Amino acid sequence: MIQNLMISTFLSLKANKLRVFLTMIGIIIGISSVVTIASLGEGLRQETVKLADTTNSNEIMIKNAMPTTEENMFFGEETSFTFSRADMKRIQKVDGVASVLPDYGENMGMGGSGEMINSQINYFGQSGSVQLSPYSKDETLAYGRNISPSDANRDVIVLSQDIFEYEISTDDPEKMIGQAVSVNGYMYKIIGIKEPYDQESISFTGDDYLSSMTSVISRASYNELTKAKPIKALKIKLQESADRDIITQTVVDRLNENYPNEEGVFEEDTFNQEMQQQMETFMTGIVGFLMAITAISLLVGGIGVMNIMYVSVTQRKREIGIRRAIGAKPRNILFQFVLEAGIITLIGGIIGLLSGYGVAVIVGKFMGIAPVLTFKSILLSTSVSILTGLFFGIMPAISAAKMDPIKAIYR
Amino acid sequence: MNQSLTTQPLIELSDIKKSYTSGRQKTDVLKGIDLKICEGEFIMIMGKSGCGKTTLMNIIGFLDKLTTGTYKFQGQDVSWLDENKKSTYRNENVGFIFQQFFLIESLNVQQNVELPMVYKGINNPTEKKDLAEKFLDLVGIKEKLKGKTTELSGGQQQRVAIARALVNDPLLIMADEPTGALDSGTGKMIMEILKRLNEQGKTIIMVTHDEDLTSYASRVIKMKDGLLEEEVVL
Repeated sequence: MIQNLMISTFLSLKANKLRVFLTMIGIIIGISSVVTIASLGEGLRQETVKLADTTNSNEIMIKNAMPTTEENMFFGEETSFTFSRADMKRIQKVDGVASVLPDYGENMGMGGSGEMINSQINYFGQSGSVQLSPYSKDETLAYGRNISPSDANRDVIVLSQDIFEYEISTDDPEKMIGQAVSVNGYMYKIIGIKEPYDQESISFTGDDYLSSMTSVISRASYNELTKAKPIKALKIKLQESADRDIITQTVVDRLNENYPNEEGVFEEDTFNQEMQQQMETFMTGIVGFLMAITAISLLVGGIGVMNIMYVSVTQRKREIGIRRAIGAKPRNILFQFVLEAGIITLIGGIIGLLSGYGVAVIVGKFMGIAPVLTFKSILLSTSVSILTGLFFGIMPAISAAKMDPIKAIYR
Repeated sequence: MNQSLTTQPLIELSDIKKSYTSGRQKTDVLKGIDLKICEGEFIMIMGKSGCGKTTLMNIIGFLDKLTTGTYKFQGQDVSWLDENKKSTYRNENVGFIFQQFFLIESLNVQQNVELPMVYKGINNPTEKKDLAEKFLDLVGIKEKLKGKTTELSGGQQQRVAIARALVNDPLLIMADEPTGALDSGTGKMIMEILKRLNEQGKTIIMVTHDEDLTSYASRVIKMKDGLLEEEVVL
């Protein structure tokens, strides 16, 4: 029976293509906008999570903090403890540790796997702050040259374009090549200026973003600059397939052995993870809110379905009467119309799903986000569209089922 | 026609009344009909418009509700069936033929003829197709099986409607002015088909205005103002 009704429903839909399409439009727009928002939101979320995960999963931050006790109001706060270079060397030897980097408490907490410090810069009376990284790879430059091995013991700097936005104003950056700039009181020779970064081509959550804003000095100069800085935490990079928990415990044990009288406790700094979680919660909230707003268009679409289904029931009064006369029970008629509404909205939902994803891809190109269509959103959008059809189709279907066959036939 | 009035009648109506109320106005359409119809009869109900003949036919065909009275079908009291039971009775025991054919345009000929079987719960496509073919063959338009109903002539459409009425092998054929929308030649052809069906044992109740058709009937019932006025056994 169901199979027969399905066939009959498809035939009746096929015979009324325009009406079917008009019924679908609202659902297409509704589902499409929800899917656009959902897949862009998911894309953004995954990008953030992926970035944070790659940083967090192979990296442990160890800090010294006030112990957690009932009467200690400051538990979790950082102590005045500073790590030494010797600590770094010792931890470097722990199995599974790839490298140990100092953290001066100046990182911006936005991921960024490399080393970075903030410094004061002064150029002919103009001053501001600059982020510095040791040389690791050649940069794309607008002017000048990159740092080379022969610069190892010379104080040279490759400036980022970022500096010209707020810190130093100049008509012609090229003229600065060869001139001196003071960094933390030391004089550096400007040998290159980075290419301005293309805001659209880089993801603002990625490492690229951070490195695009940093100026570069040689490893030796960097070490010299940081030598005196107190090391507030240790950034431990893990080897692949290393066990995070075991290494954390080993490192904490070693530090405890070395500093038996230390008041604070050595522990993993979960600040980044917490930030990431908060950001995720926040983003999920925003995306959910936007989806709720766009879902209103789905409601409007649903009302459209109801409207056109009512018209359809009125127009097909005689057909209903004929079906009743030859033996259709009221529930057969009910089922037929509910099924029709459900199929229309399901097809509308699938079209909406595809077009919504298409829109997300196009919009994502401009926003630098790769949209992600999850199985969950596919399932959700199709089931929501079927439910919309069933919900808004049931009233017209009931009115069709209740129709007096005689009145329906003879109008 | 062979009628054995001694056997149990197929249909037995006692004091059937039907009235409609719209607002405060009450209209009595049937004012007390007593009628017995036996299997194999070919009954024609005649009368002026508004005399209640179509209402009577609809009550007999389980389409309409009676207001008071008793309706027995095959000895069973069916006066107060609910909508679902009436649907089942219509589906299994009655085949309707209408003046305007009333085929469903979105379905093709085969699908129209198969529809009563769908509601009967027959799901086997081959079985349905074989039966549809059999009855289309019976009315002489087997070749139109896959045709669109809108491309058929009136006579052809009515023959499809007859096939549809027959496909569940009902005891009773209800025909409401089946030739009313057809030219006399085609009308005659339809009447011949009905006659043949009657000869094969189907009970036929037909409503008509056309005096010329009475020759096909075994009994003619004339109605006036909601009452049986005259009965002629031919």
